Amino acid sequence: MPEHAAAESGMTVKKGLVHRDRYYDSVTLMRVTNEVRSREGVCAAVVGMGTDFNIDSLKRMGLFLPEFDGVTPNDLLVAVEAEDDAALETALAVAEEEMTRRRVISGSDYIPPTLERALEMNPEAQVVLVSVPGRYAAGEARKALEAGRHVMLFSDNVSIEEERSLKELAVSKGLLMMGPDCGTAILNGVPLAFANVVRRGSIGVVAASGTGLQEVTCLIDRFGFGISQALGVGGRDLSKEIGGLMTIECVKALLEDAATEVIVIVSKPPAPEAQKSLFRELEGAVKPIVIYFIGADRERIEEAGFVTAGDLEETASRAVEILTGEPVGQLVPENLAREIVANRKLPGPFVRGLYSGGTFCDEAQRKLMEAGFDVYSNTPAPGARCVEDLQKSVGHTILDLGDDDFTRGRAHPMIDPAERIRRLEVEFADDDAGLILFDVVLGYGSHPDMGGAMAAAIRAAREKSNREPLLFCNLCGTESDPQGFDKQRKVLEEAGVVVFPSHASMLRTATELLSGKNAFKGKAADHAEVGKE
Amino acid sequence: MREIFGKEVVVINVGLDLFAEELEKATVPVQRVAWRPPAQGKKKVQDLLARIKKKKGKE
Repeated sequence: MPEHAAAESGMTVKKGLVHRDRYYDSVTLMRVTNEVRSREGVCAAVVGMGTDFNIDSLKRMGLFLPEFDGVTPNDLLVAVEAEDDAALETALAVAEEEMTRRRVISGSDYIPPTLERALEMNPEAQVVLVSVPGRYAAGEARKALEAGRHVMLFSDNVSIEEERSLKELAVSKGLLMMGPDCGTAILNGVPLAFANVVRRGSIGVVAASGTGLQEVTCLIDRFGFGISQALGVGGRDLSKEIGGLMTIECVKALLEDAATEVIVIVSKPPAPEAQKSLFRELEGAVKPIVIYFIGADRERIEEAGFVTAGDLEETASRAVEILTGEPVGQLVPENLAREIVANRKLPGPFVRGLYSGGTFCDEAQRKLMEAGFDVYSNTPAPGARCVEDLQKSVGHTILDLGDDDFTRGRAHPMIDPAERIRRLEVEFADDDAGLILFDVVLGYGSHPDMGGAMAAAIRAAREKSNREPLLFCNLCGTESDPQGFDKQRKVLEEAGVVVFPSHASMLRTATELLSGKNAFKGKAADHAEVGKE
Repeated sequence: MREIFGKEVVVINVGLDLFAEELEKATVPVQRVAWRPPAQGKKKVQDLLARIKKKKGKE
């Protein structure tokens, strides 16, 4: 029987419920919360497990009601503040309805309560996709590997020692161990977690970066070619401790795979020992390998016999060039970029980047710095500065809104645009912001209409601020994605956004714009003086 | 690893239900798991269970 307490506070009414017998995953609970918040008359609402984070949120919102005293992370809490009793009761009913609906997912089919049971019931299921909280993730992954199944481990907060142990186990059994912190893979044409619908073909991709994998596979599709396999290895695979274990296994598997003709590897620069291991294992490889180690010394990699690239678009182009024997031109060549910027005016001296993909944020910083601009970020690339105040942009600020700093207790910006929209409004109102860059990543797992959500937010921000910063967006996706590339492109263009099919083409055009116009290109320390002359 | 290339992919999803939903949309066979933290999240009990399991594994 749920315990509850009601309290009146000035003009609003509040109520809290505790369910001791329920558990839902974090994304489901956020969706339920959003549904309740969207209802008429609801001022505030939280539906979540009794974790420290949620309790802090409740306290901050004035929703930590007396009945919540002593709750534990196993308890599900429902807290609502509304304008009146009617709205309150409706909101609680909605919460209940949403939770019930999400419980009965497959009708009367039995849903096993544990992975062990599921493995027993499904001997033919060769892939286990694990996205439970970090504490439990390694344990679940291990169960799957011990049962002879391949694993995609989306969860992060898994220790590096556990990662090493899991990967060693996987390698010993000839199994895939994708992750931890692996958000993207396409296995036999099947999109796993966040992934795009791309043509099947003969290019195999191994990536330590989710958005890197998404961008490269989408661009290969755009160039008219296809993917045999796209395997994620998790962000730490090419670290000193892991030594590229899974990257090596995956590349070896693709070298033996009859359907793969060209192999692509994408990662931030490996630790020297991991790179050594990788190059040693791949010496004399029988198939051409394109390597994009973001920001690395390309000469060294070429000397080792690999093809290199300077950005994600070039990575895709070079792989395709190997297959066709013909050069692949840049998407949005220089003359087109110049046309695009020709009659556009920068209403402020700085660029602001609002990214959901970490690799895009990184690539943007590097390209801007290459073009001579000083850059700030919450995840600074080498040579960039760290923003002091996460909530306030300074100078040219390029943010990774998918980073922990911004996602604690919230859904990732690829799923939920709320945080990015909020920041967009702030940048719109900032006289210093002349150009705003943002990514929209389509595919399974991503928001069903991010383009539409951003377009609506842009219109509202434009009206509220009465300013017109220029808007560039790199749209990462394909026509076959659930959201539809063209549909998303149109809705963004209708809101006055210039849409680019690749991140590199957007950055080329952005630097063209910033270099020619009244953008700020001085030392970061002097930026405070801009506008004072 | 080579064995899975070219075969039909059947997935067991444990964790975020979003992923199972998306796989169904993509008409990929997926088995959901109604997962919740073992021993209702009580760490002491979990540790005890883990020790028992380890011991049993050695017998």
